[in-house]
Amino acid sequence: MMRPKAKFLLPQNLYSYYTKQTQKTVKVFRMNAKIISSKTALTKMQAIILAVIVVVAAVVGVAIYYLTLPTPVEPIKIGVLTPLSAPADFTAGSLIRKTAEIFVEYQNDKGGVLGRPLELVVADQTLDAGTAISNLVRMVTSDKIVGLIGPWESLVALPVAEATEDYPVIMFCTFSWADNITANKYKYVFRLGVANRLVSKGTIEYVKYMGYTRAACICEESSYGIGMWENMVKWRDETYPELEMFQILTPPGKTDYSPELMQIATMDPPPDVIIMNNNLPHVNIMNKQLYEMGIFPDIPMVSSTSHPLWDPDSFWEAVGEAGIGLIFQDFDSPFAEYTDVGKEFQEIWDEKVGGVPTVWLAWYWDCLRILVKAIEDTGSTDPDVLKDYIEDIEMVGTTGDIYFINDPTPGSIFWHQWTGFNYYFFRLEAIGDTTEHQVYPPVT
Amino acid sequence: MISIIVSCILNGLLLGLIYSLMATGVTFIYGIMKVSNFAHGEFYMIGAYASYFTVTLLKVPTILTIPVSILAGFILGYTIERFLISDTYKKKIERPGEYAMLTTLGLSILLQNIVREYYSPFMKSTPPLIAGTVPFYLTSISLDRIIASIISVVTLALLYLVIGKTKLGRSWRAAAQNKIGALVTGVNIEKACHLSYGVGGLLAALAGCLLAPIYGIFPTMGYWPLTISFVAMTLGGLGSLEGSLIGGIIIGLAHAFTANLVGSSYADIGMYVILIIIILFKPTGLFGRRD
Repeated sequence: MMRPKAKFLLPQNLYSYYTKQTQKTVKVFRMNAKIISSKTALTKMQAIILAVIVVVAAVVGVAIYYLTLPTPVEPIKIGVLTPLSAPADFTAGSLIRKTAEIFVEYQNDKGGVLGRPLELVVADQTLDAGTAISNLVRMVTSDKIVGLIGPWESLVALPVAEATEDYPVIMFCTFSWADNITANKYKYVFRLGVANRLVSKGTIEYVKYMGYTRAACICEESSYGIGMWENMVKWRDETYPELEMFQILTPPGKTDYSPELMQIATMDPPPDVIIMNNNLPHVNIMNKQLYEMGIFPDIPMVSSTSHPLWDPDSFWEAVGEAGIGLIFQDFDSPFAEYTDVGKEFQEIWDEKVGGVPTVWLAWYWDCLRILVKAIEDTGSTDPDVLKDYIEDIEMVGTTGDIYFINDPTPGSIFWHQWTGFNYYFFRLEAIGDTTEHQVYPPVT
Repeated sequence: MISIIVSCILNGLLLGLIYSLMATGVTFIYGIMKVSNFAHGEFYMIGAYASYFTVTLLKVPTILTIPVSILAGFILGYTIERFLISDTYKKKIERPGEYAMLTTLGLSILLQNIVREYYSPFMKSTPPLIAGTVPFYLTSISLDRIIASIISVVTLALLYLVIGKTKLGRSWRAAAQNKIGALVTGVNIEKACHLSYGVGGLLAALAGCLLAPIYGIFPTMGYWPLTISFVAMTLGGLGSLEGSLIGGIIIGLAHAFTANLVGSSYADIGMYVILIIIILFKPTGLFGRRD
């Protein structure tokens, strides 16, 4: 049998041959697919149900995932509204901020408050009350702070205190001296520190202790100087009526006070003591001029402020020998014993910042401790609840016991006012001295 | 009472001479250029700081820092006039008086804040020119005050000599009387004005240097000398050097008497009451002349 003769295809025939073969294959494939599809296809309803199930399953899965995650804890926010730029006292402000930062770290290491971490909200107080108040409003309404520390200069601290009536938040002051901060009876404002009225009390206390009976009081013609004079007269009337006081008003801004100071030289009999209620730099100018006129140190001189400590080098550079013999008042002393709480704060400060913190930083530390204790004990961050609690608080502070006097008498500064601080008087006995020689209370 | 009056007279006279020293620079500039220099207090401050830095850096006695201070005051005054004030008499601006006032006022604030921000707001001081005090009736007085008072009188005398006897003085007088006329006769008005402002700065800086040991040095130290200078100048007659001397003495006496016989809070009021009374009866001041 003969083999069939091989069929040779030309290229164009080859193309058509393969095309036909391919078309056949596709046709068979389509037929098979149709058969399979008719057996397994979903109805439209089934497809919708399936889609719903898938979506629901996904949502439930995601929800379970998120629900099983650890819940984020809302922090308790504390506001620090303090001077952080010139011309306000930004040096003090930065120290206050540092104290608050250290406290938050310290407290959070102990587990926070009510199991929630503390968080700071910081804003610049500036020296403009409008800016400070707008920052306060933002902190209260947007950041939801539960307490506020840091307002410093009275001319800003007082309007901010006023604003807390409309934007309730617990506010603490320490070294804002204006009497009205407490005398105005603001609902949420507490002062753990000094007021003009109390500073003048210390001066009269010292004058009485020394047995002086005639005092020439140099007072700056400003709310500070005149306020100090009025308060000294009140304390004199209450505690030492034997004291004769002579007022010498000095306008701030002058550089030659010899006409005013000459009154002291012409007093007959001369005064036993000169009391100065003036701010820098005029307190230094007067100090120099009293020395030049031969009035001081023959007549002892007491300054109501601790200005020699603000920048000791500048003080001694400015007054030189004229500063020797000056007595000044302060609220802290190297001879004072801090409580255990105070010692702990000093150690923490030394570790974190270095050196010894000033007394008002210790008081700010106390303010933060008061706030934390109030939240913990009441379980609330409501300002009204906290205010009621703090009014009656009793606890050990850094420099002594903490309590607030709440005298509702109109005009009394003893409203939300702490009075537990001490008065110390120091005498400068050599150039470069600061607090080496405490003259009152006597060091035992 | 007599002892109080005597001490008021002595204290007031001495204080008055110091006030005159403060007022000389601003009076001189006004006398020549008819512009108010509100940066006068800062020229005074710059003189004091120049003295302070020289003492601190070179460890020299304060009295040797006087040339440095007056040079600093002169350069500052000359430069400010050259770049900021000279437009007032070149007819480049519409209201030269207001322009000069606002420019110098702005400059005053700027200089104060530069010192406060970049150096220190705290008070400094230089050692006394000559240490020591002398008994002065009921009180004592520092030798520095006496030196400042003497220099005040000597400076005024020297200025009189320069203005009356030198070519520069003649050009100043010509510029003060009629700038265009002076220009026509060949006076270099620009140079005369540059130099007069420089000398005004020099006088203020001299006062700052001499009074720094008494009053201290701080950024706003120029406020009081500026106030006193304008009161003394207005009282004595705008631009009159003898007027600034007498005006300063009257203010010094007013301060001393009012503070001691009426009350310290009225010391400044006494000064302004006297000013108002004098202006009421002689609007040009004691030695002032109508243009």
